[in-house]
Amino acid sequence: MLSMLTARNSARRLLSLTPWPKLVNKNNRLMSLSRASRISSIRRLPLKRVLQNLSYGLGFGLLCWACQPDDNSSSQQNDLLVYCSEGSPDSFNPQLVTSGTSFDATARTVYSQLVTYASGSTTIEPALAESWIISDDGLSYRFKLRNHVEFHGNNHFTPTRSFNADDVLFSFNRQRLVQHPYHAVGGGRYPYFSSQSLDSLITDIRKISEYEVEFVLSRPESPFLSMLATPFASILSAEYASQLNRIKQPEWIDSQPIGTGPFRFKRYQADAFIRFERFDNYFGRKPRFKDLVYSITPDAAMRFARFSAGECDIMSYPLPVHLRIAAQNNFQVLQVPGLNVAYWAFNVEKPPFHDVKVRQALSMAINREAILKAVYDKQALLATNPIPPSSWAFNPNTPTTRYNPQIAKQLLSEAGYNNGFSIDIWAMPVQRAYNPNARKMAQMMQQDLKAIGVDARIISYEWGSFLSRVAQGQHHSVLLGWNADNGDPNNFFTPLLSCASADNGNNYANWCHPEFDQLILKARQISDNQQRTQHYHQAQLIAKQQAPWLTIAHANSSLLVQNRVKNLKISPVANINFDGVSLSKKITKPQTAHQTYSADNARTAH
Amino acid sequence: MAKALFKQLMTLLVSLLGLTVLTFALSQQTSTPLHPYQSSNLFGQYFEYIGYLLQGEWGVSSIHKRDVLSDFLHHFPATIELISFAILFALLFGLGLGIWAASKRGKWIDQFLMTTTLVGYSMPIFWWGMLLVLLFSLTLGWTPVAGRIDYIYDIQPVTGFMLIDTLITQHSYGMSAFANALHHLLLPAITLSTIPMAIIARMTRSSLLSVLKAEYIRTARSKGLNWQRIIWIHALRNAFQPILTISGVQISIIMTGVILTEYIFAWPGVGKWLLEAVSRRDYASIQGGVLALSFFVVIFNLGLDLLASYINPRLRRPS
Amino acid sequence: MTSQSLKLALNVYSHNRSAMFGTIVLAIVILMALIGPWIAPHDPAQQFSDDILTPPLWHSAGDFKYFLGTDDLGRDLLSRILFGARLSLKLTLIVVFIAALIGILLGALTAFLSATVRSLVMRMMDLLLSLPSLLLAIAIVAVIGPGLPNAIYAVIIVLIPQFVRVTQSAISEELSKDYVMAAKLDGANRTRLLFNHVWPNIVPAIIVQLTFSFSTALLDIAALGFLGLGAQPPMAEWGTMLSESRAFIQFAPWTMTLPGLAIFLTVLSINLVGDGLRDALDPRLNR
Repeated sequence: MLSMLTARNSARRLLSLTPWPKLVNKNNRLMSLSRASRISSIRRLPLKRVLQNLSYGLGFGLLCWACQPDDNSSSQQNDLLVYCSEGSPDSFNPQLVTSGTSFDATARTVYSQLVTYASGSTTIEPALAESWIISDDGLSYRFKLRNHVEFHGNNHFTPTRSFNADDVLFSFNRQRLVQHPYHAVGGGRYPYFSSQSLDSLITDIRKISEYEVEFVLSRPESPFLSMLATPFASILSAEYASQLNRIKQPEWIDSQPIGTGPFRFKRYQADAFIRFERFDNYFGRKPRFKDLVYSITPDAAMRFARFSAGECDIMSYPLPVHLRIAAQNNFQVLQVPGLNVAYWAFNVEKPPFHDVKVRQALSMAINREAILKAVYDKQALLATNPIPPSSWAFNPNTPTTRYNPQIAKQLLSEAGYNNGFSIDIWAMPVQRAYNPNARKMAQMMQQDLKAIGVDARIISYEWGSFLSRVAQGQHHSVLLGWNADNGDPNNFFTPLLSCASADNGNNYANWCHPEFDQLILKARQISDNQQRTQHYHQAQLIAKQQAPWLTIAHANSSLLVQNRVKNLKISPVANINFDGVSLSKKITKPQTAHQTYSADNARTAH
Repeated sequence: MAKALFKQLMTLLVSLLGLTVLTFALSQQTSTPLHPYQSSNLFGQYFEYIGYLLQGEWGVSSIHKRDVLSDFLHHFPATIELISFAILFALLFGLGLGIWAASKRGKWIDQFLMTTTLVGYSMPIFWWGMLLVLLFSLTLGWTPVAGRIDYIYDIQPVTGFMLIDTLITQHSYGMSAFANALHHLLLPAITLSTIPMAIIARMTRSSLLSVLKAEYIRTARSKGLNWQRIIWIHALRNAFQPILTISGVQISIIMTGVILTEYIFAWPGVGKWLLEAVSRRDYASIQGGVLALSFFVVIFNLGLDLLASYINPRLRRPS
Repeated sequence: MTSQSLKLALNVYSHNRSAMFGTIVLAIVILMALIGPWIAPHDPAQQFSDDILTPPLWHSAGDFKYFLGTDDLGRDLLSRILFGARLSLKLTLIVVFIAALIGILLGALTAFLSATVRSLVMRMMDLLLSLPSLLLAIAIVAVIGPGLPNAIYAVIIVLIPQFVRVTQSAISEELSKDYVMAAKLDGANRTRLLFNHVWPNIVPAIIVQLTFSFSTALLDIAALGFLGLGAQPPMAEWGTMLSESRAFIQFAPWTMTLPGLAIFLTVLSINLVGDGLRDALDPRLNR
């Protein structure tokens, strides 16, 4: 076909004009235009500006393909902190969501709460509330609010008053009262609020004065104050809400957030970045840098690559293996024993897991030490109890499940399963703080189970449908975990192992043990810590004996941080908190982490 | 001409109908219906679906509750920017290499270049991109790893095209921001351009060689025109037409490549967006993304056909 | 195709140096895939948890036990690549043959259709052809769910239109030739015509299409595996291995370079063979 086309070309074309001289002419014209605009320097004319920038940009851009940004821009770098986060927030209102990713992007930046955790710990300290009084029966919490706390402003809203009791009432009543004008905005579902059954717990919220509110509870609840420090308890502006109502855009309250936090929301480019700016009227300690960017990088490998190339200052959720590389290359590695647990839950409603012997047998068949090494790279503690040792309720006397395939086999034959059987292991498809790689874990367990004659099939769905299927009880056994969002041990037991949570909650073992249930219920109603501890200790022994879970690990929470970032504290509950963080003036050129991860290193490291 | 145009439009219509059937099937996978259909049978629902599409209501994503069409348009400029640069590279270097090889026909340089292009053509670009990142970004530190621009530049998105936005920005750093955006574009564009570049180089070489055999070139040579002039002026003009025709195939190769490239470089375009939608089983976004991208390819091909027949009337085929 | 033209083609092919290079590489890959299970030093799924991410032998920290090193689970990379070759080639073969069978049949059937219907069918095929293959595969996988079998169906569907196109155009070209006209006038029916006269003459075009489909299929399967939509871990599939190694790209580059190299060399050799075959078989290009 080609030859056909070309052969038919006529000789006429031989004489046609060449395109090249024209192009040169165009170039000259472009050059002279840009020169003219430089001389006249009328900056308001966008066309001239475009041309001017274009000529500069093209020249520099082409010459400068491989060079770093010039000095002028790097001086601004001292005012910018880039945090490589693991995902896009589902909403900019923490009341509407449960994901840690959304909390990180909102609760510690834009918003503040009545009370908060002291930086880097789980002790409660005042925030928007200056002080509080708890009545003796534990049914009334009276908060005295801080004066002169300013809200942010944006294009649609300039606050005319400072924070007061109305904002507290608005923030909680929106979630609590179905008839509240804002209740249905954003879908009308407040997952955290309802999962903690706060709707039945809080009977009333009273405005005592402009700067005083009282929460009235239906029953004593010792973890209540801890709950108020969690993201769902963020305080929104009632004035902004009414302003949005006036301009008929109520849903903007959740997408263009206004709060009292240290950073003002500036711009969100979906799936790419969130840009914040320091709020100069913040009531607490002001941030020492001006701009904050959340660079959304869901892929952990990519996140680490960007971090090691110096494109982000802080990296969230590093893989265990990244920690070692980062340490070898003199980056800051921040770690704290996490308030989390990774577990393997047996669905006790499905045979053979209704038999406690089978559950015990399978628990003993898994080599958890090997998992800790291969999956967590030793950046975790072997889990004995559902709660981590850092919790005050931890029972140190619970016996550890030992890896012993022989006894496991024996137990199985006692239970009448001489010929083995086959099971499904549902492995979650995503990386979580408590489990960096559930599929890898499942592959290792598959091999262990084979040794005792149990065939395991690994099943995985996309995260959303995985969770909904598991909630429906479709699974046989599942690898999951839990990140506590407040420091109270109740935050593990009630949502994960209570009878109520077996029906609708996160009790994926569907395990309901009346004695256990009674113990944890009592423990959350009494305020004496020693008594609570006793109850929890007993509950942990029951959980161990009944083995609804094989508790696997408590992973360390960790962050990778560039050396120019100073005073970042990692907290066991919130993943990231910029309180007190500063950036050093000196830019330390990041070392590239291409050092070989050799087998020798791996052997000497433990 | 009018008849040919009519035929082309009919083809377009048939193509679009076929596409919407596919995406309608995709939209049926959502747990709640994409649109509030009145009709109970599939056939009626399909026509309602078309109606909704025409009104610009492409559904709402099941995860982020965002409007699918505006989400797509939001991510599209980044993809277009990447594709344009890749095509530019591919044309520039592909033509160059092809001409060079053709003018050295049979010499070792020709063989070397042709082997190189075959290597480029066979390259799994997801691997190639990773190799480039490993070498240039992680080991040498010459290029950025990911993203469209450094975050020190706060660029107001106006058009969505970073290069344009950096130029019209009111901020003082317009020029260095533009350079920085170009710098970020370099590695992804090279990765994406590899295969098209190889194809164009081979195409250019072979069509040049067949043009050079033609009678009029021999005439020109015998008239004493110098070789360079012949190649540049006469041969290339004529060789360019088949290269244009093959570009239709290129766009589908490039679209495949852009999905992988965006994944590797975390480039916030439609490819990455679509892949994330697939991994979340967000069928509303998947059907919208597939439809919009296919629509783009079909339109692009049609435009190319029209352009080709405009440039060369002989290409207007009777059937 | 007569034995004489076959000889000529063979002669052309064997004098094509790059095609011969491709043939040799491809032969080695096929041999590896065939005898892989017997020469692989380890079970590809076995995890040596004490030897995680051992570098290849030529590295100072290499271990003789693992010639090409180990991955992040301590699995022997050489064994995985060998088993991967077996898996990849097997899948590619299955995919291409099923696609070719369906495609050629459909293409041949169009010869019996009326002109309008044929042009409609061909328009649909053109549409499918113009769509990016990966986009189409992603759409199909999105409907039927990720996983290896589904990825295979997707790649088959993506490949079919090419065979329909090639067969149809080759047949219509042959049917318009004088000798077919003559046979038609002689009273030969369409089926006989297709089998006795047309078929032997379109075989070369189909063989060339087949070889190129091999490389497309291999790449598409690997790409789907890479994106997590195809073969699922722990399966030793090259694309899946690549995607698993992404997290280690900086400090265990061998886990990324080696499977990628395997894909690249195989695709390159298939393309070289395909180029050689086209030059040798396609009469239109014969000097």
